[in-house]
Amino acid sequence: MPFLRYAPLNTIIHRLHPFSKFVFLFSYIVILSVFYEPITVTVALLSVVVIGALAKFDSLKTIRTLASPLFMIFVLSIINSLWMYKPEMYVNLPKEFATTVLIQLTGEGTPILGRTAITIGGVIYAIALSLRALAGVLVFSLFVHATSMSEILYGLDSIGVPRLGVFIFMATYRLFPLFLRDINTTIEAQTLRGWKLDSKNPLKQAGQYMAMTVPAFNELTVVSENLGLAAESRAFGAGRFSTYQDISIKPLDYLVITVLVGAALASVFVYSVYHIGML
Amino acid sequence: MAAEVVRARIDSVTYSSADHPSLSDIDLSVKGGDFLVVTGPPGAGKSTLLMTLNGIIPHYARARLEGSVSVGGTDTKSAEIYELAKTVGLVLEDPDQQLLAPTVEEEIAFGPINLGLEKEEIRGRVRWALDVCRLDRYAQVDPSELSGGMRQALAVAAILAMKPAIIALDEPTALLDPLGSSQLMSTVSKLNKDLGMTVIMATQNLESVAELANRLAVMDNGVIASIGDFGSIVSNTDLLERLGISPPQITRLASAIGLPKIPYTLTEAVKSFPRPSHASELGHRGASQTPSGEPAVVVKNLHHVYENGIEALKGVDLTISKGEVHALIGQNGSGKTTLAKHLVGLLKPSNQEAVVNVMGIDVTSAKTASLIRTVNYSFQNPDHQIFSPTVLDELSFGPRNVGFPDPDGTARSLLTRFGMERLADSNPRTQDRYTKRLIGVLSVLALDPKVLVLDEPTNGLDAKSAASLMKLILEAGVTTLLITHDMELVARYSQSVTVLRDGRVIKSGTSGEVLADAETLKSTWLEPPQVFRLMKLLGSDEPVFTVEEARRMFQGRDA
Repeated sequence: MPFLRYAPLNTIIHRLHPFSKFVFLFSYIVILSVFYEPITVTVALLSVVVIGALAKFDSLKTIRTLASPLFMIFVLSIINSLWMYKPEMYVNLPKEFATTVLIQLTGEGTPILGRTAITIGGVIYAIALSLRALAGVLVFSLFVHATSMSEILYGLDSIGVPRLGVFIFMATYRLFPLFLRDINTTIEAQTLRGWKLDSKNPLKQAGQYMAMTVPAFNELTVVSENLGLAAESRAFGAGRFSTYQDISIKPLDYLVITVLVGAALASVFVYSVYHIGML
Repeated sequence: MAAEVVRARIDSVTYSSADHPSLSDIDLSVKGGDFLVVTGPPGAGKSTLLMTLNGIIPHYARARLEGSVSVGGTDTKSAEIYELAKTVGLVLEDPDQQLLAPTVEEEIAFGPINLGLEKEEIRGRVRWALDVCRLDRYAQVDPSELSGGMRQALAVAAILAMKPAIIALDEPTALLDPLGSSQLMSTVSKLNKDLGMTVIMATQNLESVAELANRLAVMDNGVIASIGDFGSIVSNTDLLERLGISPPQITRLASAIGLPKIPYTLTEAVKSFPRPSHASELGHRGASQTPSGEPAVVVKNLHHVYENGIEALKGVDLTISKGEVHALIGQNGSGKTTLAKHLVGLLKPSNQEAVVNVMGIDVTSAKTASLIRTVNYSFQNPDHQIFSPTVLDELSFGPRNVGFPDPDGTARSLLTRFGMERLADSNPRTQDRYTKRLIGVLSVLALDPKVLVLDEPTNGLDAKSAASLMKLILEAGVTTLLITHDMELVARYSQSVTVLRDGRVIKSGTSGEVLADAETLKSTWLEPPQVFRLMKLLGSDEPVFTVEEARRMFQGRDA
């Protein structure tokens, strides 16, 4: 799994204080929540790729790995955009994008759905949503790639997150790769018993994959309970976390925090005042 | 006289999902510095007893505890688990369910970090735990990339780093290779003897603890059936064997030939046993005999490099004759599972020159789907295989997928053949470990493969269940590649053996040749069965590896 895995490297990003890395995570959450048109989202995405390169994080490999889910997100976004044919929905883009219909699906009087159409504006919106999803995954993956667990514990603790919150974060961090590994092993085991994707229909394929998740979900229920047990058995919650790594806030951290917080505030400002980032 | 560190007076422990108690009438006292082994068949209550020691029961597990447990003077009912963790460190049976961190180093540091220790102290403890558990090379590795045995060693290291006064270990060696297990035992022994750490260990592997433990408790059906001095309890081979627990080989041998004093360690045994008076008559194990016949599996010059750069196989050659049971042994992480996955097409060689041929089929170019009736694989953890709502569905899943005319009929006939008809409509996931393991193997056998790969098939089973399972597998009569760390299993059931070390074959031959080569085995963290070592110490070079073979050398074939 090229993403969602910590890489113990000594890059400039790895050496940042955990607090700076949390600021990175939250700043990008703000930025990506604000923008929903392709150009601004692409700028944000490219900035993540650049920061990723500094951390020796292989963004391209992650994108290749995520190609199928991203395509699914694009399809869902297109579905979501079927009702975006009203000109008032577009502030920066030409109003005619709303009315330029590529494919008309249903007419005005259609029960429940009403009028639905794939428009140029809708496609642009779907592209922006997909890029936003991609940027979000890259941001989180980069955070995990560059932040060790003890840094996460220390960082969350230092910003006053309660123990339960720390544990939920930690368990998610651990369970997701475990879940993927279990599904992979189950698919291997069932492939050896003749299981195969025998349908070209994506919905049927999804159903077949869902069946494969049954053992993994069963396992996860037990594992998530036992992880809590294992954490408590190792004195989790006994007091304040210490650290064995050399963690200190340096001038670079102040600079990074200032830039990131500034970028987040600026994005909210330009969005609210100048409507930058709107469709 | 050492002070009492554990006092358990348990009337009962009942899980909320159960209608009867898992523990009853427990009266247990453990003194500081004791090394207490708790043994018993699966389901006897060993894990439940251990979980009462650090407060998991009643605080975490959904179970009601009637009675009291006091640890280091603290009542576990009134203290939090994290407080008790400073006194009692508990290593759970399954390492995957207790590893939390992204690197080995961080995993070990997790406990000390929670204890709020100073930076230098944490670093020192991490280095020490890495060293004693042979994990120093893997400090920056993701635990999920380690072999099962290494993950178990890591789980132990993570607890050791907390340096608790009492360490409780639940089957800690179940996934370890024999010398890995012996090293872990010597570490635990050092902690016990040099640092005075109290050790409470649940295990069915009495041989691995015989030199170290001073007390033994035998559990059955939630009660302590017998407790006392290790030597006196382990000598009661009738009780242990009735419960499916295997005493050390030399103890069984001494009991079988009627020695007045029953030894349980090799040191004692050398003094107690006479010199054997008969030849072994074990020609089939002789060095001159090698498996012959048509090859079922041929592997030549196989290399495999994983995506992360780890070179798991470095030019492996392997030949298995039709109809034989071939054991594949080697230390944790030596490449056994990687090799096995190539045989079924789950992995492809990294080099073009590699030959992987099974029953005349070139596996390197074949699709996995086309191989499954020729060669198949039973996974180490049956939970990864089992996913149907009933046992019948589980067994008919494969036959249905490959187009058998009557998949349910195939499944039913297998169930009948193995005496499991009554389980047809039951849920496979709720079965005991032995039954789940059997279902896992049968679900593969249902496809009637010509070659079967079994990955640690008896792992976690008691001796009786392991023997039954192997008997059933052998009855199926297919060519078998048996991956195991259990040297007695190898001795009893395999005709030939291949030893892997660091991705290379370092020895291949008959089981007699390989098991007698102590140096080669030692170099890959394995060791010959205990009776062979005893015979060596008694001056015999006979290739005897099982208790029955050794008995004949003392009493003759007809005795």
